[in-house]
Amino acid sequence: MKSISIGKLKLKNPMMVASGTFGYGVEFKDLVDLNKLGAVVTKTITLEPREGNPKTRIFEVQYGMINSIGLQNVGLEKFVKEKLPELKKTTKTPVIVSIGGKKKQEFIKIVEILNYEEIDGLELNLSCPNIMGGKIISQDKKETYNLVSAVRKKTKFTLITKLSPLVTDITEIAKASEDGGADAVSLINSFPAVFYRSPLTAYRLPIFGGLSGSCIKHIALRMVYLVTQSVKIPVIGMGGIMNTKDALEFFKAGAKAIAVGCANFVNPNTAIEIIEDLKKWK
Amino acid sequence: MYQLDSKIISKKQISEKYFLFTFESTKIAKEAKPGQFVMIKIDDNKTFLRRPFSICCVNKNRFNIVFKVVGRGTEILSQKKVGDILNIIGPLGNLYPISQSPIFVAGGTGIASLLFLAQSIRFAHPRINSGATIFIGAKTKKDILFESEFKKLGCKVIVSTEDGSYGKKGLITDIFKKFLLPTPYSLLPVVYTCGPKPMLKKIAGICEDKKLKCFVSLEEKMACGIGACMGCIIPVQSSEFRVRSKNLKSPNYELRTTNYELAYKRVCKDGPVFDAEKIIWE
Repeated sequence: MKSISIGKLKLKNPMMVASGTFGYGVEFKDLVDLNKLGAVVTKTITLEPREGNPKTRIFEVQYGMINSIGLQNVGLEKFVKEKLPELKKTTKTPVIVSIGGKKKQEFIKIVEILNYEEIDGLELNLSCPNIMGGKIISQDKKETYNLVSAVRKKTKFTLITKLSPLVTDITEIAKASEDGGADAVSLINSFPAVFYRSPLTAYRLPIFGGLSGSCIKHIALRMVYLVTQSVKIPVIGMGGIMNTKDALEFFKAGAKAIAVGCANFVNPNTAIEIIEDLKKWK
Repeated sequence: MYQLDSKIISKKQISEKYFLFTFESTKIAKEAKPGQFVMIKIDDNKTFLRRPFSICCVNKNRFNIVFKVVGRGTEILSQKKVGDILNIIGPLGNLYPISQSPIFVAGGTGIASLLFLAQSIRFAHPRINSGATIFIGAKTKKDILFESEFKKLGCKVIVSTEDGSYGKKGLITDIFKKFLLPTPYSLLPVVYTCGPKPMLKKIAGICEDKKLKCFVSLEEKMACGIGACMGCIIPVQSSEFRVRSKNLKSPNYELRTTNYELAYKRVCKDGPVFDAEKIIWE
């Protein structure tokens, strides 16, 4: 298990945890040795606190789950004052902060504040499927380019863009990120999907959310493969990584680093177990 | 909080759909407090997420859970055998605040965590339970759990079934309401309730009318169980987290109108026990 670099950021191993599946990191400190991880990617932070979507937010499906959280988070101020210091006190592992917003200005404001914080990288969440009334920025290559290049001008941190799989050509968006100055692309975010509650009840409305878990792994592998063929910046692969075999498949597809997503809910030590396994392989 | 493999050391089918399992784990048994729960990995392939279960009672190196078969997860769990080993995370969640003058109201398997509470109160203040009352509500005689256990603790037990097959006939909420009418109190009682949500809502309403303190223990679909995913939420009135909600246009095409200053609290981490007056019932 070798160390890798993404932009200026050096990671002792290529195992990360995916944004949104690992809270602000500290929630896992009693169960997981955070120091063993390559990097912790936080839950997406927005400028203002967000209350998120009404319940129910979690649905189990065959080999995966659908979530409709709606980016509930404490907001930038509380993150910087409370969550980040708590995490930094707990571990020396690099912290990559995922940030989100509806407009470019929101991203810029967040970055301007985070520039003074002790963080190790930024991940732009351009692909949340659950923002109310919002659209997915990374579905448009021009908007992706504009946003990434605007943020790039404002920060020296390693910059990663997280992409949505719901596009006609993922390589175009990855290219737009690269051209905008991103140091890496993360893919894939959860796949936009619909859940129907018990079909026998009168409740007929669809629940929109993001599908994740083993069931999206092979879609993710394809996209990781295609993107690694078309951009020079590193690809961080994710989507249904549950075990070491899955991890190896993503490396085979060309990912330089990988992230464990909702498997963290199933087994909080998934990433650690993969790291231990890969050490044996060398 | 631990993640560990735990052996089923006894299994009892209480009635057609109700099961009592005893697991071996000194760590969880030592740390667990009334109100807390565990997340159990039931199966690697047939279910994806863990399932939450209240801790029913503990004894040195073992702890019990009670569950009703309601879906695929509990169905598979009910088929596990003595000697099987399951991966468990726990104990999780907050505690029932202990009072000197408790009234318990239980519906279905909700009685599990209340038994643990009654035992702890008995242990801490041996005299109290002789004055404590437990209301046990169920659909039919078969579904009545732990009547004798509460009697052994010195509680006055009042049972009702919806079909009248045992105890009083009717809903336990109505019987609870009648009971509260004439009783004079030397010490204002605190009501603890756990069971189906409509029952909790009614009990909370009755307690509000009578100006009694009421703690409810909630159940919700969960993914992580440790406060990271924000999946299991309950709307509560908030002063600390002020987000003025307008009529939010919903991505789920559900009617989502909220006019309170609300915050979504996590059932797994901020709960499962909540002060009933804070909850915004649907």
